[in-house]
Amino acid sequence: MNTVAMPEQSTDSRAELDRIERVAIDASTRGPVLFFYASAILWLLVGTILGLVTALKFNAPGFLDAWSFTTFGRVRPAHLTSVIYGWASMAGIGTIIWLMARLCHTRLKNGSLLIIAGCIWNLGLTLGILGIFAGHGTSIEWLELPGYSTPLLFIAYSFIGLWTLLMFINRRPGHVYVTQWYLLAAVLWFPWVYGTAQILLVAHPVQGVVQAAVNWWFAHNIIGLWFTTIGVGTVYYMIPKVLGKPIHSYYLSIIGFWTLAFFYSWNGIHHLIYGPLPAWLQTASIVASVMMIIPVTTVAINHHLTMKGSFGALRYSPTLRFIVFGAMCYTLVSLQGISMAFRTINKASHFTHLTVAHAHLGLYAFFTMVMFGAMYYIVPRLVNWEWPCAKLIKIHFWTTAIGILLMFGALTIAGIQQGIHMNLRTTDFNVIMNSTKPWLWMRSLSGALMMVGHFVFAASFVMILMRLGKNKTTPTLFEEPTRGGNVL
Amino acid sequence: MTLYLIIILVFTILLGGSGVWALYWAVKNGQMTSLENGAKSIFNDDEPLGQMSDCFPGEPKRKNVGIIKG
Repeated sequence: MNTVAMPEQSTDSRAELDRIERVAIDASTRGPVLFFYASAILWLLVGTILGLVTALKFNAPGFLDAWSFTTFGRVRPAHLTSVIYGWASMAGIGTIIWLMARLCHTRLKNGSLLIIAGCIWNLGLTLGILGIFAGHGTSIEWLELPGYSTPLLFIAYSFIGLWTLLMFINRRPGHVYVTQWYLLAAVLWFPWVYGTAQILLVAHPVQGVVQAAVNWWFAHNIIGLWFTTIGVGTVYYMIPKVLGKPIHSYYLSIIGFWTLAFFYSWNGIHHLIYGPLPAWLQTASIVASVMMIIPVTTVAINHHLTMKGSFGALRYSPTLRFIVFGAMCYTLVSLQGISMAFRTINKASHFTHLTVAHAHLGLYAFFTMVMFGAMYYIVPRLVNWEWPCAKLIKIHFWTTAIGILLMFGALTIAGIQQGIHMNLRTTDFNVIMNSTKPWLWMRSLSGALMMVGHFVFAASFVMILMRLGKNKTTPTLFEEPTRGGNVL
Repeated sequence: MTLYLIIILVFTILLGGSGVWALYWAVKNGQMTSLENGAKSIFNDDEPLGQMSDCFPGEPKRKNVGIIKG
């Protein structure tokens, strides 16, 4: 992996050298990033269909119950696994590779090995999801993949992690941008969190309540130390880069990163409030959850003040639309998560649809939307071609944005109804369940709307890969270098 | 089981230690000084400050949407 030292030049020739460097770096990441993105989108479609089937089972319990492999207990974990380890992780890895190369000013060497790693990841995941359908799931939430598929994921990940670290080590000397901190942390945290949980829950399971404690430590950290770090890191790059305007307070961004690193890993136990765990453990987790207000507000203030005066740009940039929507939902989901950690609120919110609403607000409204935004920015630069049609992008945005807000709203109302009435203990359980029915229909409809958006996005992606549609008349693309790229 | 716990503990200490070391390195290396320049490090002459870098395909590019020249 080579780094480039820029000689003293005039502004024009420096721009030309920068351009040559940019084109070379993008070319080096083209294969692996597009491979990870294509796989991610395929898993997104699989996960969406499985999600819709799961949702419909709430409306019509007899739907697809003739075969064991399409029962709720298997389709639901298959949905979760395909969206977490298929869609979200693979989209995140693609984005990590591109951002790291760009920010380190480093060409990715031997990128084909990362494509092989991607194939192994896909193989492990396919095997695991088929295993879940066959009834081999572990029934540990967020870790449902059967033990035999995990080694493949580890082999694949070791390449991905190592390549990212090598890019960082071989970076051009100078400032380490806040996004690099986030991505580097994500790359190191993921194997630690996943590996620890795999050992303590699948390979050599611990017993009793410790199992539940490890389970939720793991599940929350996968969100907080893997997806959140990738998501927030991406936002910290995309908003200023698209606007051409530096982040409002770089100081706040650094504070935000280090406080997140310190507090997040304590949060998981708040899923077990009122459970048979030591009270101090629950209290410590609640305190850490509340302390998350520091990184969350720093990120929220920073993003808002960077956008201030530039909100008009949302009309013109597809990337910014998705990214800003995601960033706003990050604030919302975090504040909601903090509030749900309080014992008084948790007493009503736990074991209800509100938890499902919260999870979708986090993994979809925040992370998935940020990844869509990143893809809209990155893919044209890799393919050297323009997105085929602005209308398709707008359909994608509105179907997914309206869809997720409807889903969140419907599940929140259903969850609050459930929570309050179940705690009263005076309402008959069947009455409570029936009162959620209209909201569960709305959840299925909103899921269908999001599915339309996903298929439209997949069509756009295939078209840009095949270089269909309009020629590159460069709204999103920059100029090509005018002379040979032998500087690198 | 004890062996696994030791392995997990060692990795946890290594990871935690590397975090502390990274913070120490960042301060020592001057990463925390001149933060304003740090914020501008993602721009260069090819992708300069003050220029929007994304637009809907086929639609006019809008510059200067409340952009502050750096």
